[in-house]
Amino acid sequence: MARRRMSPPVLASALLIVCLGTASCGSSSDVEQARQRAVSWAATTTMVGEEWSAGHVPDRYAARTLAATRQEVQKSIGRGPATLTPSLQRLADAVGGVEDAVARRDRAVLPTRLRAVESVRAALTRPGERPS
Amino acid sequence: MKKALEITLGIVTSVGGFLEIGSLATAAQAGAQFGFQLTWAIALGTVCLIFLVEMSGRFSAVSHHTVVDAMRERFGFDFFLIPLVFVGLVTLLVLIAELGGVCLALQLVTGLAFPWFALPVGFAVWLLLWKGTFGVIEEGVSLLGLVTVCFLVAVFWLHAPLRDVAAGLIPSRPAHDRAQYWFIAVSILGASISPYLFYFYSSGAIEDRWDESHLNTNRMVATLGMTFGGVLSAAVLVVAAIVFEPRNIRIERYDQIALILTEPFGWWGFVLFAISLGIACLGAALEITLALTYMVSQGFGWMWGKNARPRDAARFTAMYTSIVIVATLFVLTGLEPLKLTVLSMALTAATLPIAVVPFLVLMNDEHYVGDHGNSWVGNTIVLLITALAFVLAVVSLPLEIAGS
Amino acid sequence: MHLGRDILDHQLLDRRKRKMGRVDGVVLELTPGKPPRVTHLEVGGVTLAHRVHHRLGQWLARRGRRPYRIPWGRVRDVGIDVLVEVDAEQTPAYTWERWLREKVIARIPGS
Repeated sequence: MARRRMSPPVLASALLIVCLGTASCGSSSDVEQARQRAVSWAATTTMVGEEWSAGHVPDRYAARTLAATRQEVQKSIGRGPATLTPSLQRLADAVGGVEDAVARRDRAVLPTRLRAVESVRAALTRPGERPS
Repeated sequence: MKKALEITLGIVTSVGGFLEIGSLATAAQAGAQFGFQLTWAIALGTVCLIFLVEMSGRFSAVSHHTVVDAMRERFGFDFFLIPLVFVGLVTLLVLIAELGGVCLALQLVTGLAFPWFALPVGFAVWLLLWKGTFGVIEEGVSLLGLVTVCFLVAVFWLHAPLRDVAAGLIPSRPAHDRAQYWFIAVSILGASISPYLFYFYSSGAIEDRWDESHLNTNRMVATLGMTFGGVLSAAVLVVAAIVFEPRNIRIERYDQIALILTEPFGWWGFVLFAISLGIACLGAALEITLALTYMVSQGFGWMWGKNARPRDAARFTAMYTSIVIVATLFVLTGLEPLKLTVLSMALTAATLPIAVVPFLVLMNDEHYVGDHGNSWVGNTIVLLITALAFVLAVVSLPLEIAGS
Repeated sequence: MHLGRDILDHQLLDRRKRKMGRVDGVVLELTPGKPPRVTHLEVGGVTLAHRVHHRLGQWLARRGRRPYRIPWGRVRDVGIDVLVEVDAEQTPAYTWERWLREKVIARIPGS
């Protein structure tokens, strides 16, 4: 690998441009990233709930996974963009609802809880993305 | 007849060893986030690995040296330290991920948090090595590793659109998340082309006393074995694409991947995934521990051998014991396994030139390989893919670390 | 014989064909007017440390570590490996091997 010496002013300007570039790409893609992750967590919750209800996954697995998902959502509330905070809060509550249903082995109440998750997911999903 | 058996066994053990936590995690992430688009990365990695493994077998059969033996002899100790340290450290990270994988499989099945299993699993790995009948264990674990064929079955069960899958074999620009795309591509390359695989293969060739009459066997085992392994990785990607992408699920934790087979197979799917994960990672952990110990032992000229009695190879035994202890301690800390796995794969890709270039020099050195040196085809393909992996790693690793 | 290529860093085997390390260094006797003559093969961490960086070697030497030297007269064959007419068990090359075997490994059942 040949190393070319760049003069300090050129190097500094290049770094500045790169930083500005990534910073400006930063803000909009940060919101997008956070939104997509939230959708992913909502979808995970739904899938775990459905598979648990069908008896495809053990109780302990479902409990652990839902708890971990809820914690992820709660962690992101503080860190994420302000526009998403209300949705994230709703999502955390909704995941908690599913978690509670699983903890009580209450398959009867599960569909209601899953619907709550779905409604947050619909709110987060942009038109054009495939809801399932 | 004996040769046919040897070939079959060789292919089977290669397959069992190919799908491990690295290929599983990276393929699942790729399928979930980018559908079939990253199939090319698996194909490219597999092609490169086929060439490297075949070269490694050919090298040992002809020169009667392992790759590590020859690296120290040809380049001298001080230069040899560089690949030893870099490849050694990155491979140790991979070992930690594999041990974590076994523990995670146990967590899935029992519900107990995975660090609880770190000590028993570490001890089990150590005991299997201590017992010394590694040949039998290796083959047994690899045969059990064929359970991973369930992913291939799932591909057809789910009626995967094979035309679209094939389209993914041509590299394409991603419509979204460019940085993530290239980072996952790099991790796939690192997961496919792990240096410990072809270093270990050369030690196996020496232990099995291969010579020039084995060159055709070698070619077949390398090609068929690695291809089948690559096909299995691709199967994981395809199933992940069918199951996760439409749901917009991104893989960030292992417990998400555990759902991958429940759509086709229900409860059995969950069980099959846990078993696949556990066995594949156990096999890999054994192989990697040996590979690391071989690197050090061969580098310093100690007695080495998977079937050696501990009494007869004290430094060798002490070495693998220390390696298992260190790796187990890291698993105990409860470090999040998925991030560690994917990072170790990317680091593997980044250090690939250090592992591969000296090896290519040896493959073209008449003093070692005589008439059986590389053709320009082999050299070019391996060099190009290695360079690609390195460049992608250098570009995407910092971005990924900054992003997280 | 090309020392660097044929001897240095090659595998050492003792009279019973057991692996006893590698040739970490070669000791030459330099007499003005005569070609250099190999007097010993050197085996040991001190020699290796010195090759990595001479200060490292000096630091180890100050702590009393000495390399093990095999007289050139004991070299039986130089091929893929270097065969020497010694019994590895009796040499410093096996110091760690012996210590680990006796103190640690022998204590664990099944060795």
